[in-house]
Amino acid sequence: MILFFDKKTGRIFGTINGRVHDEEQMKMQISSNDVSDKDTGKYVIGWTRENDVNTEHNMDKFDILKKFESNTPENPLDYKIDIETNNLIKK
Amino acid sequence: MGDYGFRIAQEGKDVKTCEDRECVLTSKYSVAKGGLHGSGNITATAPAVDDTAAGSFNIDHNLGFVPVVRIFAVADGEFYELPETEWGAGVFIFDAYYEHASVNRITVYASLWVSGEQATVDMDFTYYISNEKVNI
Repeated sequence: MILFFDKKTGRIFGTINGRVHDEEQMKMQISSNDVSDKDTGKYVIGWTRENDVNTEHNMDKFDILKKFESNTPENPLDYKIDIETNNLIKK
Repeated sequence: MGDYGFRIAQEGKDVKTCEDRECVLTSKYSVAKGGLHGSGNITATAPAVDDTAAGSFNIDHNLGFVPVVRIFAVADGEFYELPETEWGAGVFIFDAYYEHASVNRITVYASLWVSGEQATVDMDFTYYISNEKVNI
């Protein structure tokens, strides 16, 4: 999952679901009217794939990702990025 | 049906004579080829009382064609497919819709006007973008 967040506040305003993201998906941009492109950060949980090589990202959050994917009420938009520690935390 | 192709009928249906809708799969129609899904949030505050709060959200999918898209606003555990208007009750008027600004971008808009108040719109939504072209 790719989480797009505001670098100034840590607010997550958009996601792309999935566990493995290829180069095309990593090039994709999500933008919000109230967050400039330069203030938009990406936080990846899972793997990115480039030239058939998978790279892990934030696998310590993989259990949270599984909750996001399940039918639980867990919603990534209810989380934020702690901009001090670059950690995913609940609001 | 033409002279070639294949069909898989639902259980209990005769694959040679059943309707297309009674098939599990038929080569008569294009099938979904996967896609992309995710979620988003639009937050905006009206500049003044009795003004409209309006925000937007862009997904640069870069597919190079206009894809089939479905977008659902989420509120209180319920899903409302966009476009949706007059979502809410009483004096509230909620207006939200999506559009394809280009073959490479999808834009979601949300706006809210509240009588006598400075409105703030805060809309969560989920989106589904298919790798299927819209045939116009």
